[in-house]
Amino acid sequence: MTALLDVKNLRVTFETRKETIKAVRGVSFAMGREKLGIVGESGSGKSVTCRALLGLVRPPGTVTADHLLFDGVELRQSDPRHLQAIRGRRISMVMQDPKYSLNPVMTVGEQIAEAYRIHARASRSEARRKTIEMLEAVRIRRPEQVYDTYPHEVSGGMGQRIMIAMMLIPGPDLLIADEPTSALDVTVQLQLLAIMDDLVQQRGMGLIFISHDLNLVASFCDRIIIMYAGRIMETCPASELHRARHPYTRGLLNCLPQIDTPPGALPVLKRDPAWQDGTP
Amino acid sequence: MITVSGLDVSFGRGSLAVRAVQDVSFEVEAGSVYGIVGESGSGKSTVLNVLSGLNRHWSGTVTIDGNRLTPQRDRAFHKKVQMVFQDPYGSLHPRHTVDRILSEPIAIHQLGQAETRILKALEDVGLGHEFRFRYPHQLSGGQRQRVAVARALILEPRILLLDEPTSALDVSVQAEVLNLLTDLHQRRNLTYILVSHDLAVVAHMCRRIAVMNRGVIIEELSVGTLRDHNPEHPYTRQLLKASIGYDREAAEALEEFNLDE
Amino acid sequence: MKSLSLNNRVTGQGHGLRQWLLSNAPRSRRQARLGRAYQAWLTFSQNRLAMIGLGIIILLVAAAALAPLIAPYPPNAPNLSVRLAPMSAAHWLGTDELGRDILSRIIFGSRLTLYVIVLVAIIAAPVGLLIGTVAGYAGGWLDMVLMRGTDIFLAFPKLILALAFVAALGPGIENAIIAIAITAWPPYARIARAETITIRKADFIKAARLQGAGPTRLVWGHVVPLCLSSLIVRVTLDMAGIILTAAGLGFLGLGAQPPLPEWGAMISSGRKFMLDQWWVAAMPGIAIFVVSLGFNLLGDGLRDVLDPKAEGR
Repeated sequence: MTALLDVKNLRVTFETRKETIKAVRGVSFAMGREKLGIVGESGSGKSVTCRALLGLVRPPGTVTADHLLFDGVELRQSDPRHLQAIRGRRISMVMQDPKYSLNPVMTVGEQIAEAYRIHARASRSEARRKTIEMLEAVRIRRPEQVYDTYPHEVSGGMGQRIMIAMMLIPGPDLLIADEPTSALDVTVQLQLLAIMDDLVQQRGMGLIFISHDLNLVASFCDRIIIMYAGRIMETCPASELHRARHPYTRGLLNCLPQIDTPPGALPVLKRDPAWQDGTP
Repeated sequence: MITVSGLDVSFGRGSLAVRAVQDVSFEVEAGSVYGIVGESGSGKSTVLNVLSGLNRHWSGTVTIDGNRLTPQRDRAFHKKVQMVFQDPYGSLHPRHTVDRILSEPIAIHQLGQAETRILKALEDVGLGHEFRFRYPHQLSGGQRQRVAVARALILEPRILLLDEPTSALDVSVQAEVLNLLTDLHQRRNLTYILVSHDLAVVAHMCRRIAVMNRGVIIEELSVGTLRDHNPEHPYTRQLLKASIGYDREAAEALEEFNLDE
Repeated sequence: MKSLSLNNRVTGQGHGLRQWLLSNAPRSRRQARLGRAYQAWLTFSQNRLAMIGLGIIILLVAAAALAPLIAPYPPNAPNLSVRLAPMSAAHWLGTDELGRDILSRIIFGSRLTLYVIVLVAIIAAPVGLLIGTVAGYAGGWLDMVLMRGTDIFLAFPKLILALAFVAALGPGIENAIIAIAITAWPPYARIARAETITIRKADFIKAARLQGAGPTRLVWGHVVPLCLSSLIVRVTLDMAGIILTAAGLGFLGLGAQPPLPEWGAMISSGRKFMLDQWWVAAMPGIAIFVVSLGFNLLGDGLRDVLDPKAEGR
């Protein structure tokens, strides 16, 4: 059985006048239909990695890789139509703030219906029906009412649910969620994750969950990848995180304030320069 | 040292008025770290804005060291009470060097000895002298927050108001800044009021914690009670459960305190 | 891009002065300021069109400064024996109806052009900045009063309003300058006010207020430095319009009076000869065009450099 996603030696470099930034430096991983978490701090390259998969890296960024296989098919093709067929239809992406990813001048329902009709030949009424169905699937209680609202009228949590509805309506195989809950309250976050969990499981999808929150990823995902400075430091099953071996992972775990631990100085992460160059 | 009694803050007028803070009362002992935790819309930041003097439209009583505060604040107040803001990118003027940022309070209060004070402030927050003439865009998030702390401390206040000081920082940087704040608290015997949505941060730093929801203090508890997972109010329990991580059952059991929709 | 850690960057090497300017750890106020200016210059100089614009303006200033040295003839020496002569080796751009060398008149006219635009900018920009920042910062009734006043000025087309003032004050280049300045400041006030309203909400303003800074210090030290970028860009882009308005007034005989070699007045007097001796009107026209273009290119280049979003990532 081919892996859903197989990435080998991905490199993304941004060359500007002033400097050269190596955002991703030789990242390789594979995943099946599971929940994979990618954890890292800012600058680790976690977001850039996933944007590279979807062909969303613009010049002056350059993407190279040995291969980027999605369901056996190479993602790096010069034909833009090929990517368009995959983007949205088979791989979808949910980002952090629905304020910026939803079109402010269209109603919420229209946007979701449009997303559906782009990828499936359907009449307006069919699309509307599907949209209402999808809004129910993300547990919005009065879908017909919400259909006619505008993005600025809904709260952050509901906006994210709408984004998920819009991204899942074409029925993709892989969902990439880039910090989808970072802008939300903790209780709203929990709700949203439960919805994502159920939907991903029901549809047999793969999910890549990008976050800076190690604890959250450990409790939500099946496997975790920890990134630093454009490289993968460690990969482990979520349940084994407390037994992680790489000093960066350990350092990250240790410097988190926990409710249960007593006060006192938090151990500070000492960045080993070897992590910049060394391989995990 | 700080007493708040019957604080009420409303935004807007007439039928559109929103009561951001309703009848809030609490006390902060001198030299302690008091936490206010709550989700968005809970009113926690509004309370801090009232205390700092940024928000002048409130009713109720606020006393600091026995003196009742008026909505208008004077210079003596600013020497005593300072604030650190959440966004390290927004709280420093983009066109001012660190030197300019730190020398402004000295100039306003005419303290003199600017050079010495600035260098000492940088040392106190763990920044070397080479940072003195940098612009904010030449600093990392953690360094900017340190500058913000240095700026707050340069007037030698007794009380520091901290509005989500580490929410915008990476985890490893957060640890450094929290350590710095703890260290300064002990060395200078300051009084802190820390506002955050992050229960773990509040539990780490504070001795007493107020939990706010929709403008009201739901519960006041000691950090020990929190650590024993023993809060009384169901909202606090729910918040605690949600803060620990993803739990499918907890998600199902979420009650309607302020859920979406 | 701003979130990428400082670890993954490879900075270019530099030597001596260049490295001192590009240093990320400046050791004095002067080094910090010069370093910033140098980086701005580097960004600006990448833009070829902007450099062309800058070149044109430098030429303008040089022509104005060195006019007596580079002009082949005096600007006001009539020579009726060579009137309306076409372009030749003796007169590169031909002569006008009084036999005066057009090239020399254009060169001396650059002084008048520069005089007009510098004075207008010096008068209008600070007035607009002051009114805009005060209105934006104070809010309330003061804002309303100032802005409605600004609206009154904005309601009139620029040239018409300038005409009205000149008609009241009398013709002459100084009055033309005042008239144009009066019509030029409202957009600057608008820009300054819009920027001030945004800046007012920033945390660094709150922090300064919490230190006890009064409104004057806040507006002057915090708000104005941030308004300057958009204002400078707007003023530069407006230069073309100012030149044209001055030329328009000159054309109508209400600006510089003869025999001053003001470009607009030159076009006006050359109008009668347009069909046969086109160069009399066309040459000053081309000069106006080139200088306006220069300012537009310069303004665009400045906008790319001074845009606070692009700066400091």
